[in-house]
Amino acid sequence: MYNIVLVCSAGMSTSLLVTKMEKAAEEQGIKTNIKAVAEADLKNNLENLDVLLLGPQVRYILPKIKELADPKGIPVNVINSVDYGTMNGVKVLDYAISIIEGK
Amino acid sequence: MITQSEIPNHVRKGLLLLQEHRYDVDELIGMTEDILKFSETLEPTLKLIHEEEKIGEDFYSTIEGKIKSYKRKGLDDREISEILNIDIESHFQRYLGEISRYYKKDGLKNIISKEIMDIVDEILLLAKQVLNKEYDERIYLGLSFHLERSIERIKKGERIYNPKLNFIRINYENEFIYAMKIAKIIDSKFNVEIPVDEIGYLAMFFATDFFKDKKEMESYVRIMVIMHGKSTASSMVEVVNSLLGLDFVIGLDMPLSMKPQKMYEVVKEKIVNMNGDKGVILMVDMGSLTNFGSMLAEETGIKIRTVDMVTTSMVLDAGRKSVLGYSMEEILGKERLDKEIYKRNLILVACFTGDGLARKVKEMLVNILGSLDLKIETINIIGSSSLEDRVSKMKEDYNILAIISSMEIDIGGIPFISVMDVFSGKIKGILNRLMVEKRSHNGVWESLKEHLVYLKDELIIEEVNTFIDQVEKKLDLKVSDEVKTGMIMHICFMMDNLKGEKKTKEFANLLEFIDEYSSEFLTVQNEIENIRRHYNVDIGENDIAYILKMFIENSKTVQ
Repeated sequence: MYNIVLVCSAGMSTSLLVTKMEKAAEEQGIKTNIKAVAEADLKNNLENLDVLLLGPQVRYILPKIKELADPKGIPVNVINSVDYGTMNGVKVLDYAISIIEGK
Repeated sequence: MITQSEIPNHVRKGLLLLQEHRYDVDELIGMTEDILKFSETLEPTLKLIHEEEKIGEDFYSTIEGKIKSYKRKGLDDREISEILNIDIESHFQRYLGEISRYYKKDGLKNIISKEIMDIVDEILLLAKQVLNKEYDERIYLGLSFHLERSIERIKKGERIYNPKLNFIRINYENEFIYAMKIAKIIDSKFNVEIPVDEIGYLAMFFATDFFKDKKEMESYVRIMVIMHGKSTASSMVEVVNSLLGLDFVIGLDMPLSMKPQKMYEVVKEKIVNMNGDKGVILMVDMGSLTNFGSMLAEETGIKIRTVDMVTTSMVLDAGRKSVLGYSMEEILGKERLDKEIYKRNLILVACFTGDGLARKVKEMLVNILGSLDLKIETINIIGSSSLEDRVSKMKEDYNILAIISSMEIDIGGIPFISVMDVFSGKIKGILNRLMVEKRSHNGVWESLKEHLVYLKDELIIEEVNTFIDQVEKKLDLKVSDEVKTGMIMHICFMMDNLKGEKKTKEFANLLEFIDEYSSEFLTVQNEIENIRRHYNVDIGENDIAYILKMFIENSKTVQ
């Protein structure tokens, strides 16, 4: 089971990506728990997490999120803008898993 | 259904008296209702009351009353705000007009407290310096009365609502910023907290457009009515001008005996001799007059658009909007481009004549870029009509990738490439990148379109892109391409959600944020106005704040 959280500023665009990733996971038979969280709500969503991914438009919060996530050993990274722009669920899911496995 | 034709003649004739009894009729059926219900059993709810508005009564009460009554009628907030928008301006003017008719500055001492008069003195003196405008006694009186009421109201904790707030903030930016400043002065002096809606009202006092003088007319879009017949145009214009209360629209008659060439000269002289900086709209009936506009534009270099088959109400509408300071595009309404989505890529090579350097560079480009699917055109910088105009016309048919020139040209968000890059051979790489960028935007649309419920046109991507470019320029900052892609997604979803009337998540510490970045906030609000208007959605302060934050914070991390 991979626990993945996507972060963007108002939760406008990431929720769609979540659906896409869930679909990709289902097709590949991978068990996941993926959530979209707005920046402001992140503090309450840091438990049981394997990876945090940021939308490219909130790249600037990376240092701040790292501060929160590092002590808990959760890796954080920014989603590639082409994958984000095309809402490529398969690729983003691959990316998430590669981070989790490589940590 | 019963239509007019089924009504007996004597009743129909009564309709002609409508004008004389407009007031009674409005009172009976209300300005906004299309359906009137009759019932035998219920008590009639309609009453005829003519209540003269009390002089000096603050307009809050009036507005509040209206909101309540519209709410009761079941209108939603947006509809109400639209109706009030129309209302409030005239009310404001009447308010000021009446006050100054009944009171003079010297007599004010007995009615208005000294603190208020002092602060109004201070405010207007400062306004003169900051906004560089003269304010007459009317404003002095109006502001005194207004402040007395509003401070009292705020102290009592009563709500102030300004449906025109956004309009004011967008169109009277400087006045609004100034109003925010003086609000602070008033806050500390009277120990109150002036709400933002009230700041909007204060800004209206400083926005002299509300009290326009005729001599200021030069900076407006000019409207000229030209028609066949001895007096068709002048009669129409007479009606319009008297309804506007200003001698604003110009009418030119073209008797049937007059040759078009002669008329052309008459029109030309008139146009050359008036200040048409913001453009001229020719409103004509038919025939040769419809061609005058483009010829005149070419000959005079003035921005001219022609509207044909014109009616009095069209002229009135255009006149009203231009008096309010609308731009040409706003008056005419942006025509939707219904052309096919696919546009061929075009590169423009510009030099002074379009014949010298540009032609050489074009030849080189054809050699270098032979394999790429694009068109290369030369264009002269000093033409009869402005480069910007010609380029924006080309944009309708082409996807303009870049403009190449020896001097930096900055128009409408089109990337500029220096001639040096052509000579050095870098050009191919740059263009490839530009084309990929365009395509990746297309990719964005491909994936977005399945998931957007309301937005159906790829145009939004272009519009958002332009918006981002403009904000970057205005705020003098840059965000990276990746961030841009993310922002395009964010804004598209935002627009779609707003269309679906989904609420945007609240922005944390919104007020502090707006306070800290007030002028940047206004810039974003201004720049997004085109998109807002095109899709007719309410873009709220939370939405603006999220977008602005992305600009500000992401620009700090650009390498």
